[in-house]
Amino acid sequence: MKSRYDCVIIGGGISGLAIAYELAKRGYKDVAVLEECYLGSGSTGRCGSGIRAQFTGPDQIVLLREAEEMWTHMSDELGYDIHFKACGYLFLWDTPELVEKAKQNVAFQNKHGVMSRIIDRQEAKEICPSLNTDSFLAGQWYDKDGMAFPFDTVTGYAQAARRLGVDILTTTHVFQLETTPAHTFTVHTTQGNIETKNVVNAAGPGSKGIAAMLGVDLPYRLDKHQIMATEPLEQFLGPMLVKNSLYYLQTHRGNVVGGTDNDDKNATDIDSTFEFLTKFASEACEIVPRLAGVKLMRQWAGYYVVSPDAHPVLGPIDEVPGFFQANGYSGHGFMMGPIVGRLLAEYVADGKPSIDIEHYNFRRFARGELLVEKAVIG
Amino acid sequence: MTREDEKTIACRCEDISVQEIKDAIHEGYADLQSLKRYAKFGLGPCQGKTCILLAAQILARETGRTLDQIMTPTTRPPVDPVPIGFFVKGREADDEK
Repeated sequence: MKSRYDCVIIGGGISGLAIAYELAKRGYKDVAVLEECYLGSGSTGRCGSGIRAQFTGPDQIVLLREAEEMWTHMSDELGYDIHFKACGYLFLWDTPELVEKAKQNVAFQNKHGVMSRIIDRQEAKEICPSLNTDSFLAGQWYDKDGMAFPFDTVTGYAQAARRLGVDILTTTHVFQLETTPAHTFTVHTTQGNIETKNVVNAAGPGSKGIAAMLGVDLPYRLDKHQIMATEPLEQFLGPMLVKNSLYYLQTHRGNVVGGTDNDDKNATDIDSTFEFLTKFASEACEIVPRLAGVKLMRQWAGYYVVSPDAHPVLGPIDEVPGFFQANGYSGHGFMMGPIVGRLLAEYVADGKPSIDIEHYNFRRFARGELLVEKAVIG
Repeated sequence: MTREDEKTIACRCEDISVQEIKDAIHEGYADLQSLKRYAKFGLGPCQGKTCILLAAQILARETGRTLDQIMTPTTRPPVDPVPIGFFVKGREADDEK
């Protein structure tokens, strides 16, 4: 660790590491990533690993469409296999009202270049032969949605960033942040102090606390979400399946991984519960009955960092020049990682991102200009 | 590198050898949490009951630390894998399905 950097990124999940990598790639190499535990130990390593562009708000559709394009090439880009697979997302709708709404969503997504479509039960069964076709009326399908392996993605970004000269420090806790009269920041860490021109807050569930150190009040709440993994099996499932809050997929390692919502969202603990298992098992076996014989291997929990409009806060803070946000993803941080990495690096290095994301700025809350997103799963 | 290390399996669920664990340590994965997730041991059906302590010992030896200086990963439920059908309300587990 040096005592001075051009940019300090707080948080060693996919956001922080992708931003560091993209900065270094642009020749902006005097960068440190500070992680309080181990890389990927926060929401990245706990996530369901799905990647989709089937959203309902135009802003997320456009960003995720770009992100999916980047995910497709990410293993080559990083020189490390992150196991991206375009397995597709298959939403299952079980009432006529939901099917009607899905038709509108599809038309909207198509308008923004995401060519999702409504499919009947027979086609859904061809895509996922294990499906119980009595459990839904129609499907909504997009074959470019997919998955990647979170820890391999973290490793890929971290190794690539280090090769380009980025310092990545783990078990390094930030406990104080100050602005200096010279328009720089002093970052107080458990490994010593750092002076820097720019600070990026990519601290996931810790973002609110980091921002508060500089007097910025990010309007987030932490929602606990539970998830489970089964024993590894030969590939049988196919796509990511989603029905209401239920979702699951089969990873390249063969484990079925997924979750559903549970009534302990506001819990302050991050423990696994039996209640979650009974709800998940009942919902999961209804759409794929053969899952009943598959052994559940482990369960865990993590946080969605939920903003008032379920969109992240991206970009600079007007009142604190040099302080950038990449947080508040409301459950979508992993899938957005690559595009956030690129756009935030452009903000820091060039002052302007190549896609207009001004409406993702923190100032939208003060102005009452909230964005719209209904498709939050889990 | 020894032939014994290459042939000795530390994680029997995932077929990870002692040598693979040592290689990952020398690549810089010097905490058990990152080591496990990079080398991919301890993630199989036994949930690390066989290999986590073995890996912790290898890590301690390779990095000149004592076992109590190595933070072990969180143990996740269930203790042994259980068929999902067991948790479905009003149903019995069926291994054959």
